Amino acid sequence: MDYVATHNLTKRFSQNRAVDDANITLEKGKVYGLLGPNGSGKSTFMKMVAGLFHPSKGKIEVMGDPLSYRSKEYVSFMTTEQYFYDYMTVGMVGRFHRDFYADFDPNTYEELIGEMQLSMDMKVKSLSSGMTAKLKIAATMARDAKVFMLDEPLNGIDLVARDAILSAIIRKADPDNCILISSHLIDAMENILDDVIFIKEGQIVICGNAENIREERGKSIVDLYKEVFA
Amino acid sequence: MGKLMKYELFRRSKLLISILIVLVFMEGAAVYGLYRGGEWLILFFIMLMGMAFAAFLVPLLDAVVNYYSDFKNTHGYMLFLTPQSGYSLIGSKAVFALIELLSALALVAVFYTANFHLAGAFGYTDELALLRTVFQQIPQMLGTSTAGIVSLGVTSGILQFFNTIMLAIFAVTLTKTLLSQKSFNWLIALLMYFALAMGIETVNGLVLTGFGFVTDMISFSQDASAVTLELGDEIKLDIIKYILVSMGLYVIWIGAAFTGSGMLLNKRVDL
Amino acid sequence: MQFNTREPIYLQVIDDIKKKIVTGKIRPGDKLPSTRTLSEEYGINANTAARIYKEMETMGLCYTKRGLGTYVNESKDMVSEIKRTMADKYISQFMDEMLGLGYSIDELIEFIEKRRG
Repeated sequence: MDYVATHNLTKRFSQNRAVDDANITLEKGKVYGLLGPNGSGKSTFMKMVAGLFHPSKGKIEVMGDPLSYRSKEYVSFMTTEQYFYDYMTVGMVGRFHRDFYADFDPNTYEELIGEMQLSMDMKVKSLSSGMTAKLKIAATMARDAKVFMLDEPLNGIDLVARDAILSAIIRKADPDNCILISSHLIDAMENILDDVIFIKEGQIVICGNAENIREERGKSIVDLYKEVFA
Repeated sequence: MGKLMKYELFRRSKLLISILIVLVFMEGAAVYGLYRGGEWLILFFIMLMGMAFAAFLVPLLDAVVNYYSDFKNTHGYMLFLTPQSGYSLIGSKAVFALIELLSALALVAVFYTANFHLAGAFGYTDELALLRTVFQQIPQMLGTSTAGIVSLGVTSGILQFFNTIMLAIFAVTLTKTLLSQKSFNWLIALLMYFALAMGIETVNGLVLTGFGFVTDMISFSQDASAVTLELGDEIKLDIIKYILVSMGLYVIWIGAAFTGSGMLLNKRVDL
Repeated sequence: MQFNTREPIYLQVIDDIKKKIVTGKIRPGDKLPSTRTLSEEYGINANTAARIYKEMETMGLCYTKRGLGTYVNESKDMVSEIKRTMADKYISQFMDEMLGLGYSIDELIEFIEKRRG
């Protein structure tokens, strides 16, 4: 069973097709890179799979079932925006996740918070943007979800913390889950991706295995990206 | 849904404490007005009315504003990413508002009762006696008891409140799911609320007429004995029946708004 | 480790492991890190890590004991074989670059002799 499958997935905003006829499958045990410039439809695609946007056309299946509110049990999604309630503390964010997500592990959360150099009694309101980015990662990755979707996980993260984040992602990947990462920081991401999906103006243009691309074309993913989006 | 309500509470903790403080101050002012007497009684009555008004208005505004903010601001993602059905999300907000209302009403009831006793202590015995008579006679005139009329009134008020909240929530949901406006959504939602409310009142009116409300009112006002109505006479107008019909209608509208909102949230959300 | 992202990463990691075997950092019979540890160590994808060991097994460098792990092959010849193959590769690279610059083989030998002193 594919963990995520989209069929002719389209999202229209007024006249603009943010996502156009996307047919994508995400298999378990793999790390996927959804690559493209800003505005190419990466976030919109992920938000549809997460249930935050409804499709204009097409279908989505998660864990073999048509997308519904129940699919959210299996999907851990990190958006680009800050999405915690201002009134909460870091600790309360953890309790919230524990209350609503059966696969949330408070111990992992505590570990990650420590690694990110945050503390449980910090108020969400008073976090800098870098700290908020780290909190998002901690909350998302402390779940034992089947599908992880990370929208620009390295945004707002300083160079030193980047390695910690990439390491957290590598550690999270296992044969029973799949991870979809969107990023325009391709050089930082290259090494950890199994497959790459290039999306240009809402349309999927290339889908392939990263190592195969290197072997067959003698190109890095960065090279390929520059070719496709030049 | 209980978990959702827990976080609705946390979200408003500062607001609720402020409202509590305001109500206590209002009661203080009311007692002062009662104590001073004479022209100061105006303060007393204004505070009493204000309290009751606040008890109904604050939960309503609070529920709608917070709900709207969940759509408008990105913190709404936190809520909408949870594996909760649209019905659960809506239900938690409506039920929480109801609990807020009942708590506020309970507090106001405590204050009213205290004021009643204080009035006795401050020497308003004549006025209290008159009040007591009126409260005993009017229910009898309508064919029921004091307890009956009070519970009917309270239930009716609560249903009306619930109806208004669900309608407002539905208006916001409609605006945020079916219309792809970028700005002034709140204005559209407000207009939509009024349109829906008017539509509902029209339908209510038609239904009540169907039950004979208009004809009864006409014959009642034409009835000679109504002109010389005195305390203690029986009113030949079955008001109770119409209150019950209205309440039934409110239940239907509440159900429709709830179902509509839940369905839209499940299928057509765009954050 | 910095990778050349124009070439398959798994081959580069294999080369790195080979170097460790040649220099004695890893010895025949040693247990190699789990694919999970490998992926964390090198900052690569877990599937790539799995592929690395698979390839190495095909190359005859290691074997996997189900449930226990992956171990370096115990053949003594293997180490010298790896050393020789890598040397061949580096020499070829060196010669290609130098001859490409226009140097003759004799000049190459001169360069190396100079380094000896």
